[in-house]
Amino acid sequence: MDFLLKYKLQPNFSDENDGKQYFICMSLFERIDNLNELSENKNLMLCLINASLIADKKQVMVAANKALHSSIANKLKTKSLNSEILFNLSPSKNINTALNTFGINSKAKEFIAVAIEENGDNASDTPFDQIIGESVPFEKLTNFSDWDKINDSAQKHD
Amino acid sequence: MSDDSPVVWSLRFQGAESRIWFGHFLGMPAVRKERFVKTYRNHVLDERLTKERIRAEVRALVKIKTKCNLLGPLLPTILFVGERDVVIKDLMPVKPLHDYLDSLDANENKMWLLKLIGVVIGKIHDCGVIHGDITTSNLLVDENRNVIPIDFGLSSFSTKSEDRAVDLYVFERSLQTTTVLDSNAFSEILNHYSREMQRQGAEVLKKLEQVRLRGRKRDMVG
Repeated sequence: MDFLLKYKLQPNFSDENDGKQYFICMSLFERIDNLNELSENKNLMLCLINASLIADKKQVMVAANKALHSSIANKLKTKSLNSEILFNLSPSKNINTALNTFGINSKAKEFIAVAIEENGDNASDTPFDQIIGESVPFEKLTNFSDWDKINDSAQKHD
Repeated sequence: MSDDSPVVWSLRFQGAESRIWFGHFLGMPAVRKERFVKTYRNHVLDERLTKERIRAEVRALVKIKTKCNLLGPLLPTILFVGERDVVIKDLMPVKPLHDYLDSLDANENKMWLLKLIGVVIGKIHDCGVIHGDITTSNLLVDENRNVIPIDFGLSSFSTKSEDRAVDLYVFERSLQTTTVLDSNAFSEILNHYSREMQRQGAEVLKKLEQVRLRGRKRDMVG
């Protein structure tokens, strides 16, 4: 697939990862055609993030790393690893608000798709294949950022 | 595009409380502070102290970063917080204050530095934070002549003049023992501190006089 970013995650520092390695894979989509289908798919191993609220990919990486750490330590605050990423991105401690603003909603057009891979097992059926849409380079993210909304969500936190 | 850098952390410093590692985190240069297990301490106590200190450190950093215009951009960004580790973004090349002073010429004008130290401590207190351990090794000076406070592990939230005065007193003792700066230099720092704190400044300095007489701990008589 084009424009797929992959980084190594470090959920732990002591050697308690059982030799496992974790990676975050992410891709930016300008348009997703089968959004309804994806949002209804309960087995989807993807996290779709509303790109207009993200200023930098590092935000997503840090949130994903924290989510993975919580998941391994059995300390998830939400139901799944993918929803935990959205929860971590949100300045609010309300899970519902977090999922609605940072996840799929009626206003979101551009999305960052994130998958967390174990041991880098690049099986042929990567979850990204299920997305029908237009993938673009990550550098375009700044074009999609809505600074009014980003400032707004940051200030609510104070 | 992907990041294949091996996850290697190299040890930079080791103190009584923690080890400082340099390495890479999510593709960025990063510093990791590991508050290692102290086997000489009862492990329940050890876990509690570690938790408390990590919590205090992160809380103070976040508070100052969001409240202070001067220190906000200078303090490191937190990337990850674990049970024993805090990972922050790499800082620019820095020197601890006492090393920096040693590297200066004896008759070089240090007024700007004294002023900045006073202002920085004032800013911390102004955010409602008590650092708890302001020493000459916990103030860093970078190449652009910024003073960056670190190690908020013993910090707490308070706006009492008493707590602020004790904070200053700890720093005064540290200056006396680790540098050649005399009491004139410290009064210069206090001067700028007091100006930064506006109305509350005079009150803190008055308290400092009392603290000097009795020491860091408060008398518990009566």
